Amino acid sequence: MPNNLSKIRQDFSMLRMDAAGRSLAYLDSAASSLTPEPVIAAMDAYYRSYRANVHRGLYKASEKATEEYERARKDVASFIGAAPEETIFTSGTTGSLNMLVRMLENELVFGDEIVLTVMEHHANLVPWQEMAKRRGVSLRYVPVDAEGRLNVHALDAVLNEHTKIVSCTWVSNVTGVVNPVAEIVKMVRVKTSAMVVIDAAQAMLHMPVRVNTLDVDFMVFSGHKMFGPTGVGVLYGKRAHLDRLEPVVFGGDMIHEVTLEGSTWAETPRKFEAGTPNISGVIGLGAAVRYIASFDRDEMRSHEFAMTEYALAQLRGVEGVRIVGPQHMQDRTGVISFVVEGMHSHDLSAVLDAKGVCVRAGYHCAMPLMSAMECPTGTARMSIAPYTSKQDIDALVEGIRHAQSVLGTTSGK
Amino acid sequence: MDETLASLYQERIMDHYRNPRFVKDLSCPMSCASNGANPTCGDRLSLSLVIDEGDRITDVSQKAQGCAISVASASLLSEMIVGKTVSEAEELNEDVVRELLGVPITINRVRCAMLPLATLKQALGNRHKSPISQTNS
Repeated sequence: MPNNLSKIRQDFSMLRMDAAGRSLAYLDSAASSLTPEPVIAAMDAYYRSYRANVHRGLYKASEKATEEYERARKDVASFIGAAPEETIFTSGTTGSLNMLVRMLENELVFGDEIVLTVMEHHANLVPWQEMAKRRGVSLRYVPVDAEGRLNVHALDAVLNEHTKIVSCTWVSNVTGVVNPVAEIVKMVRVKTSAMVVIDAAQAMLHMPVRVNTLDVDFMVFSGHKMFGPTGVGVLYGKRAHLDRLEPVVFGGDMIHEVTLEGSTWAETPRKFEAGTPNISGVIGLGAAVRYIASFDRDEMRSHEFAMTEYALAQLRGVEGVRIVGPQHMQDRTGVISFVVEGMHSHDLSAVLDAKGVCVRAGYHCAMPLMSAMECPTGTARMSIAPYTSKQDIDALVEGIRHAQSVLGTTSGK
Repeated sequence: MDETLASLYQERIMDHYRNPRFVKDLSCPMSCASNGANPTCGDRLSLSLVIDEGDRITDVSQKAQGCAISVASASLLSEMIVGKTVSEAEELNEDVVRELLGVPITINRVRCAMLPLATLKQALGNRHKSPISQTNS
């Protein structure tokens, strides 16, 4: 194993080797990435040594908590090329999207159009669907091709003067397809005055993200998919939008003044952070971005690229395995869905579990995409992360062959 | 075979998965039926029953698609209910199914294992209606 890889793996206690020298082949980072020691230590430090609420207290522990919370904001903002005032902490991608949909809702009228794609995760589908019912706006869905790639011409064709929002994922959590976000933003700007929302949940760990150069209006992502803890995420929005938009969650901290006659709001980002936040989560997310930034990101990307290439080649070498999505390396990340002939993906993942291999099985919260890719019973999914080793992939392939012998093929299934 | 694997995919389960019982046409007109599905994972089951005047289940026709646990469960349950009265069948519960399968069912496989039971309950509930009713469990 290369030096750098064994070094990074040491930061993750879940990857510790057992007495026989084996470690968990964790190939489900697309669902949730493992959490490195420095992130756990940072959250621990909050709970053990400066446990206090933020933004209010005038004693040392509270001041320290507030400093660390706002330092996390600064570091996360800088990580994505945004200003701190444009970086709102939320409960995660789903929380961000639900809140954003409610924020934008009041600016929409009957007849407005919202463009989504069929490859969206349910978090970037269902909130829009429900809002569309409430406001009488129309949803347009851009289709994908046989490899699961976005039909960019179809996107172009669907844009018109009624288009008010275009929301799409950067990277598919099923096929690993990388959408041409920069191109999409340009296309939208040329033809419409619509706002662009990007779901970056699957992108953040795997590629540099700079909202300033991308010119997106809003972007959302989760901490737990990028070495951070669960229960925390980000909503990025352009300053002008956040200044203009009204909050939709109310309570303490987001106000300027409250009387019995009415209330006024604080400025962004506090305007959109009502109540006591997930303080340790935010501090953990700050530690996570600093951890990622401590690595040579080009090297990280090369490693993931090599692992993805290796995984695709190995999977292709197993008879009965069909890769769902792009068959090769172009414009994709290390998220690989596949089906094995003659077996249900649930049974496959149970067999793999017994062999210490962690993959995901099912619809991956993307039922419309499963339909479009003609996978009525879902798929198995493996995903690459910076700590993935060749041995992990070898264990997966060995596990698949083992499942083929245990479960065999059956008629009529 | 690995011990944990052996426990879940033991011979009986695999036998009922590969050769499910009661996958056939009914011997006489059906008394009631139902379709069940686990939309989150693609398990499906269509189940029809023949019930005589003594309220006894005399025949079953089933067709299950999906994971080994749900297919085997449908086959084993069909075998178990033939000859039972409707009240006996209505009393069947999750514990009975667990015992019937005889293998450890983890929390993420419970819906697979219990789909046939849920579909059976729906079918019995349909017996005074005429159309087949679709149901999701």
